Amino acid sequence: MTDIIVLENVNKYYGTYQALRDVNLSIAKGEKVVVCGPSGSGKSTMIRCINRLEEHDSGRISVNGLELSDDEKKVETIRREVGMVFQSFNLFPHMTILQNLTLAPRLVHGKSRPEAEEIAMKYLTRVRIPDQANKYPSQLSGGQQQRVAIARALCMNPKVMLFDEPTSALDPEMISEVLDVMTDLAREGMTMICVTHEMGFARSVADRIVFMDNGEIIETAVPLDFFASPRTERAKAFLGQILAH
Amino acid sequence: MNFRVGLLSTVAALLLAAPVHAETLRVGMECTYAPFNYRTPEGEMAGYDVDVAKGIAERIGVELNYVCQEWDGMLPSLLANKFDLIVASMSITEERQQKIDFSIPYRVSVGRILGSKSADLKLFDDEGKPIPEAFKGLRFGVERASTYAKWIEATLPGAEVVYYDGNLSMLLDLQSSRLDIAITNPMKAYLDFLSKENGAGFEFVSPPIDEVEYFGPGVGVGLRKGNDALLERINTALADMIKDGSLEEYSLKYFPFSIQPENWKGVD
Amino acid sequence: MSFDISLIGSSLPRILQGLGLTLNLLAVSTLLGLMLAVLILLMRLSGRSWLVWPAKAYIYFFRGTPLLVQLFIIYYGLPQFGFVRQSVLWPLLREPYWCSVIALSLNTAAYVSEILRGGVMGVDKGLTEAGKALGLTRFQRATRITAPLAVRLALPAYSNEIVSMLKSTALASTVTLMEMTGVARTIVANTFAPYEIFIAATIIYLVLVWIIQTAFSMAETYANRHVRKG
Repeated sequence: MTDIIVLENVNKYYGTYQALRDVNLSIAKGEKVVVCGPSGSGKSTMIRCINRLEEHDSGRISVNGLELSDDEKKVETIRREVGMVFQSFNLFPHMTILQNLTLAPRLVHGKSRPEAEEIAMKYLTRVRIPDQANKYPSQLSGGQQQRVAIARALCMNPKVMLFDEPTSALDPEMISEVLDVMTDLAREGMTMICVTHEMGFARSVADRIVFMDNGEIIETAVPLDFFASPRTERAKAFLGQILAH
Repeated sequence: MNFRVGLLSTVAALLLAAPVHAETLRVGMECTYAPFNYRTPEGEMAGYDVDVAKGIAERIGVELNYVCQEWDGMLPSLLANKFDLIVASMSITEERQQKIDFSIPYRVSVGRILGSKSADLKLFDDEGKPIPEAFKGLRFGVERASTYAKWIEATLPGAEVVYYDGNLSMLLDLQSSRLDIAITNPMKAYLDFLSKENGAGFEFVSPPIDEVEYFGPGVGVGLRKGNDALLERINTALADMIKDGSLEEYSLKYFPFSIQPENWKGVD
Repeated sequence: MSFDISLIGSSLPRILQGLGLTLNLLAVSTLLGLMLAVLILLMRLSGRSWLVWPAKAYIYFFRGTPLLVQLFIIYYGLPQFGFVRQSVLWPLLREPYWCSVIALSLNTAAYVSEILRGGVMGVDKGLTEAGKALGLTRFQRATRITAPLAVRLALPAYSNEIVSMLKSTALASTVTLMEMTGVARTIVANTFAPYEIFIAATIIYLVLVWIIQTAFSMAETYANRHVRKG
């Protein structure tokens, strides 16, 4: 079993505030991990360290055998292997949906426009909005935009997908269309790390739940155990809060 | 510049026709045109124009209030009633006379051209007439809308003329060789430039140019039309000043020669 | 004071003789200024203090002093030094045209680099992160994401700067150039009719400003077509 992502003793500070404390986590190829925990617990910081949108201060992070460092070329190489979906979609507003999807394949992989467009249409079809290809992001609903963002990441043919609270900015009625796409993706065997409060999704899709609080990984468990009998008081309290809603 | 005028003097100006003890006349001048009108380091107004204005004031029994005004706004400001008299070395011309009245001349009006000594220019023939071809390719500086400008435009239509708002900037450009030649008041050029270190490399490259057609009979006091009584009083005062030698005396304060109309000799 | 309305009409064609030079000054200075502004912006954003501080000092100086003073320093100040008059730059600095272009360009560059910086700061950080996450290089992110969005954000302020530049070209008349204001001042000095002549000049400036504003508002509509719902 090869671990595609390894975090060893990772620490991260914002000034004097410690955002990550000795984080250790290994993720196997094909594994789906849901990261949960109260806000400010370091979940987002952790996954943003994996593609170096944040720099860790000590410890080691390696992705697909490459260790992250200041070497910009190496960071770019790793980012090409790792897709990311953000809470606020972050589609490029001045480009059409098709241009959003073809930009990176053309610039980074050197694909021709027809090649890139073919790939883009394939993934737009997978996320069920091929008919929106020539619209601008502002003309789409939130759920549609987030599906485009997923398709955009997939166009780079990543080995891992990171989701940073992908449904938190969505109106309730749009959450399921995004979760459905993510579930499909999980079924196809994509390695996924997903920060989310959607416990239903966690229960049905995750291989493992990672519970964080105060910058630390408190508990790691299969969903069945985590939801049935959390080992720590903090996890219990968190679940009590989140399931009450 | 100071356009502010006290209420008292405004009232006084309105009462011009009927002289009273506190009558005040506002006099427009550049205040930067030494030695004709300028401020001393102590802030006092001085110069030939100022002396003439004071001489008139004394003789007609008025107080003076100086208003400093840039040259190209001089005439419009008089017309806009920002002051009552122009005593600013303004030459009497037909064109100006259509807009305002002038007193009899209190100073001669001539121009001379300045150029670099090393350029060895010969711009005039032996009879003192300009040679138009000789001006070709020369950058020729002149004050905007001055009598000199009128003379150049009529006499040397092909010249490459550069227009200035003031004498100072023109002489600076002559010095830095942006200009090849410049025409100006010879008295001023002599005192401020040729006799100073800055003007050491320069000389007059023309005879005095004084064609009455352009330069008119000389420099006079300007005033708005319709003030015939005041004009008459000023003319009487000036005639008196020429007769009793006052103008001669003022001239010699600033120049080693007389510049009043009766005694023009020129400078060399 | 008589007001001669026919003078406005008859002076228009004469003032328009200065239009070419006015537009020439505006176009050349705007273009040179924009190139310099981008350079200063890159220095400012470089994060290296030996580039940031000169850029900041430049902006402070040129925004902190009157354009007229800058023009006079270049036009009257520099020739005071003998070495300037001996230098290879003298044929350029000797010309009032180039002195004006240099002063206008240096001045507008300071303002435009700040306008562009405002645009860059206004671009959502999340979009740059999305570019990073896709593996785009720093250069690709700057040219494909930050720059086009920053330009869109900067357009309204930039159009104001162009209008302001048009008005600033009038200062060239103080160093003997016969652009529209120079021509107008000469006519005024000859006719003693400041109101009529300057009203005529005002009309021409207002028409030019209207053209500039209309062109920019069309450009803004085009650049922002992506935000229209449809």
